[in-house]
Amino acid sequence: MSKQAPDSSAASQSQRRATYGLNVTVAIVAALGLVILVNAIAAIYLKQFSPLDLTATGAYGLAPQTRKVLGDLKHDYRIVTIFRSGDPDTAPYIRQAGDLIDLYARQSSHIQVEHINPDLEAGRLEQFLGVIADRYKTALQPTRTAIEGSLTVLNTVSKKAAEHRDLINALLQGNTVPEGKLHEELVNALQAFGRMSSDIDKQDQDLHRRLDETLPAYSSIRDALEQYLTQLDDKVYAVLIRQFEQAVRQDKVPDSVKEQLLKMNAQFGDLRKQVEQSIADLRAAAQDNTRPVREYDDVRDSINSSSNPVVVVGPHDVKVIGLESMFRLGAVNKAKPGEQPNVLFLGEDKLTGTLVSMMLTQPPLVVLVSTGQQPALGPNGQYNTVAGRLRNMNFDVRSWSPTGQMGPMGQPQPAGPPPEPQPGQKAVWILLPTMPSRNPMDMGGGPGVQQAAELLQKRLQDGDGVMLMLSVSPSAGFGAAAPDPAAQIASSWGITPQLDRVILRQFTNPDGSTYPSNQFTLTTWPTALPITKALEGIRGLFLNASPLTLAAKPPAGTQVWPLARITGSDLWAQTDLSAQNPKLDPKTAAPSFTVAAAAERDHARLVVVADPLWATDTVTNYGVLGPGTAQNFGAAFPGNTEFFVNSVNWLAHLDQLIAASARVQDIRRIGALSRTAQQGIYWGLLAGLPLLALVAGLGVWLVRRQG
Amino acid sequence: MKQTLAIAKREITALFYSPIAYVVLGLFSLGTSLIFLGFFRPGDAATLRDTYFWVIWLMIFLVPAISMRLISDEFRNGTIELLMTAPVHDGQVVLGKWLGALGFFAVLLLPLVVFAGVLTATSRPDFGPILSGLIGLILTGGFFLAIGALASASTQNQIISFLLAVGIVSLFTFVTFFLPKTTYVPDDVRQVLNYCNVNAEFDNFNKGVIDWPNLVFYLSGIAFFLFVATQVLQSRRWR
Repeated sequence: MSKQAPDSSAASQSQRRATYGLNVTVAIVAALGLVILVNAIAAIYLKQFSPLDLTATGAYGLAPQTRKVLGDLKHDYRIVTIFRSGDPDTAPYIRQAGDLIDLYARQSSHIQVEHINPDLEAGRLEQFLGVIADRYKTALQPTRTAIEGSLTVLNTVSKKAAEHRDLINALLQGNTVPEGKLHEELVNALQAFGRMSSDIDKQDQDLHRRLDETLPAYSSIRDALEQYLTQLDDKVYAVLIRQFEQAVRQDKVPDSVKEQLLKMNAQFGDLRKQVEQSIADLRAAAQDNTRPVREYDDVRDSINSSSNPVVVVGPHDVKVIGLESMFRLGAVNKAKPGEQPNVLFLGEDKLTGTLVSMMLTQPPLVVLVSTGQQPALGPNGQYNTVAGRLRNMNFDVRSWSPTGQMGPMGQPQPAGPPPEPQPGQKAVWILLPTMPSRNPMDMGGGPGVQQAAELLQKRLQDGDGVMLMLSVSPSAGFGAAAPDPAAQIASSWGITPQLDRVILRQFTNPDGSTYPSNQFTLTTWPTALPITKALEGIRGLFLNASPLTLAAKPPAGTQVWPLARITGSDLWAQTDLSAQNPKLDPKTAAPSFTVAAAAERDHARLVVVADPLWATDTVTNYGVLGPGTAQNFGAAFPGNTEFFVNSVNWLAHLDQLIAASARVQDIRRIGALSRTAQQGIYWGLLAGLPLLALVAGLGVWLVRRQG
Repeated sequence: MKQTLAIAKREITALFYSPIAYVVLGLFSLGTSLIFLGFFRPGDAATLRDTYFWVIWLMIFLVPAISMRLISDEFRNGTIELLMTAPVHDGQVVLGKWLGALGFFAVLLLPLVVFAGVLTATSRPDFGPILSGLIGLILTGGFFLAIGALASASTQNQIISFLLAVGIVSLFTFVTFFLPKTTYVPDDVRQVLNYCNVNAEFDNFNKGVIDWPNLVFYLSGIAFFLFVATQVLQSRRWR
């Protein structure tokens, strides 16, 4: 018994330990499970409760419009920010945009947000760009195949160039080629082939490197290859074949040389065929301007052109928003001297607008109706910038003329029927202006005006949106027998265009002489409709505008709103359009003139702008560095494009796509400090605070020692 | 609760009677001042957001230094027997010690209040994010201290306790911060790692937003580690 007790006790203790141990393990595992469960529930269900936003401006709330859009999402969207760190100047903007995007993910389970820092996460960036490239793989395959085929041809040309160089060298070395033209040509050819091999190898390496990029610039590679192959074909092989053909006809050239030349010519001919086939393949690929290919080019260019892009990947398409486009300087003239102007944050509007455009299951049809033969779009068109913006939103933009339009080479093309919207598809018809004329005998418009006006009238009755861009028309003042039918449509909606006059402002030179100007920049817009409410502070330009009179009592059921107003001193409406140096006419002078207006009746909407140039590429693509520089350096008059796009959205009843007024970004900054104050703060914190802690410790130690 | 508060009071008094506390306070002031001054230039944003962001990284080493002696000191001095025979529950001991350390940690954050004062003198800061950031820092400190309490209950060697705490804290900071940035982590795992990352949880507080899932993360994490610490301490009775 006494022998068994310790064993039994040890066994019992060991058993007890095991039991306790198991109990504790189970308890810990259960606690861990509970913690995971609670956190999972919190992450999923507590999201629906608004967080406590302690910021002074309530910066972490989303607009009701955004919440509605996020609530309506049916598919998953991935928003990836590619923001670089390290630049202290952009850091507050990056942070603000990143915070906003996080809010979207919090609000909707359909939004997945990822932040990639390209400086720290190159691998993840490559992985993501690879995903983008894969989306377009099928659409871009013909282009890639054409490029790869051409590179193979280029490789063959390079190898053959070395062979030809050796052959020519052997001919020249053999002293059988008589001195003269052929000898000279062969020496030149020898040099050309010598250069060609290394040049082609360099090109080949460069093009392969570019082709191996995650998002290859297919268009640019294709163009470079096409150009290079064309040069080879035209400037090398065509010339050599011609020269050698001439040489073999010469009697003084020995037969052995002729034989070699003919042999080479045959090879050149074969190579030319291959080169020409490659060029044809590349050109055919260039014609492949299908939507995914266009979109790939846009996405790639946007990602590369913005230093901090936000990429939104949807189920059908990909959109890119540059960080810089999310911010805009507020009215500079409102800032006090020495004070930084407000920075307006448009991030929510941009992002929500992008999501809405990606959600559109049936994008609206937008038809640019021109009444002359001048095409609206393409190389000779004047509305490519605004059309490009609409196409970026997936809108189906087309142009149509009742009289037919000029083709790309200037050839007249017969008029076709107007585009027909699909059942249920929203449509917006935009009547483009006829260019202004100063000839009072010009009755305005073209043969197609009446036909176009009839179509638009019918479309308005069907509930489509219509925009009328009107131009000053000298004949209007003569009580033309057939007044502008487009103006008549506007009048029937309570917006009467006065197309017999143009708005001018009188300026005075230092010598007292005066001169008129027909150019007006606007930064303040009427706020009655969202179209222009969103434009506050954005600069717009009107040129050669005519006044619109809005009816005090519009026709029954019609509502009318002003959209753009020219205001200022010394304004008048000039009626004598042939006058050389018109002067302020007190009879038509006014402090302001309305130049754009909107109206709504039942479900139909109308926008009227009495200015022929405001939406043309000449104005919309006018950049801060001059004509045509808007895309690269920012538009000088961004208000014009925004006004156009917002108007189309409104006309298509897509009010939710119209950017709301920008929020003022609340970045509070540390004020100016004198050098002494700065030094005081530096030393006070760096030395004072630690010293204070040590003195307190010393005090406690002394007190305890004495105690 | 009375016993818990008594232990907390004893703990905080012991901490403040120790000269090492003032050295830690001095070093922390110096470190945070350097961070603050790095973002304090005329024209910079009048915010403590960047300072708070880096203080979290500083805390990875600072908080285990505070917590390393919490319970292991009792083992080393042999006073654990007194505690274990006293009429207090082990959970109360752990909670009391954790509360005491949290009180000390809160005092450590005083320099941040001074920085807020400097910002107020030189600009018009938004106090909302400053306050929510402080709340977030205290919660993060509490979370790290709970991990430290567990580490301290596991060993009588303070150095091992410190290293163990730093190791666990690193899982919730370094590992979950950097691992999701690599390419070989699947998306689902990345999401879980992001959720477990303290820096990400703190980010909302730092912005000026107090969000429920973040609160739940901190409070449940603190409760879990204190519970495990209690179990580990209790295991002394039957091991």
